[in-house]
Amino acid sequence: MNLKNSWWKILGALLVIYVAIAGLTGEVPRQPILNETIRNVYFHVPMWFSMMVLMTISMVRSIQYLRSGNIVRDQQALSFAHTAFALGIIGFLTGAIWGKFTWGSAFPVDPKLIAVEVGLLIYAAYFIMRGSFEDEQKKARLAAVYNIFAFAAFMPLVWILPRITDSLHPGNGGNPAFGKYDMDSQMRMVFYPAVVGWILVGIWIASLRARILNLEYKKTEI
Amino acid sequence: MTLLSILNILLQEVAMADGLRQDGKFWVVVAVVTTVTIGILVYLFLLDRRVSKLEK
Repeated sequence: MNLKNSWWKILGALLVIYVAIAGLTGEVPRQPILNETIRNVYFHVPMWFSMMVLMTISMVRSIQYLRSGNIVRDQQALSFAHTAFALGIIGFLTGAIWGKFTWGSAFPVDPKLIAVEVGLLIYAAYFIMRGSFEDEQKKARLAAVYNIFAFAAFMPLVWILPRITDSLHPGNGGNPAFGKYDMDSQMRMVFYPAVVGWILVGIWIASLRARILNLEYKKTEI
Repeated sequence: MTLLSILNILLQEVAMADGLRQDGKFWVVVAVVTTVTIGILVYLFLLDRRVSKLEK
């Protein structure tokens, strides 16, 4: 691991450390019901952002696999989807804890939650599907096609559907931008680094997974 | 009534963890969380190094 190729890993690590400190000690707006839990914005929301980015990379890798037939691309697609899925589960669990103490229920009937449950199940099917093929080539090809469709189903499910109805989540029901997140400029100074940091660390973990997968593949080849 | 109740809500203090900062040893928690975070990241770096070695 040389510095030239891994500066972004160090940057991601530093950002996440910064967020751990500033996220706990920084000033936040005083809001009823939310109280100190508004800090969860620094820890819960970046999980989803990172997940989305990893899913996008996974989808791109699948397209690249279909175009090139290079098995490494397929390994990367799987690894990125896997890591994205893990981040999604963490996002879901942290959301449940937060919701329990602010909305009054860990799993309220909320369009965003239902959308994400369905979305994660679509990705779960991707992993199960991969396991049911013997032939490597066939597996990789079908999985790549499925992965592209999974991505195409997931994004509108999570981004568009909750806006058509109404959701407990801020920034849903209507067409808002970031302005509606109840954040002041001081919170943004922690939130944006948190998002970037967790995206970088997510990519890091996923690429590690892909490299290990590749090593395993090479081992079985010999 | 409505004006009064709105005023009442506005006047109410929003509970925040202010006590923590008046030497409730809050900094100990920050230190612990930071250590855990750094620890995991260092572990990730070591893992990365191992994989790099294996690749060679």
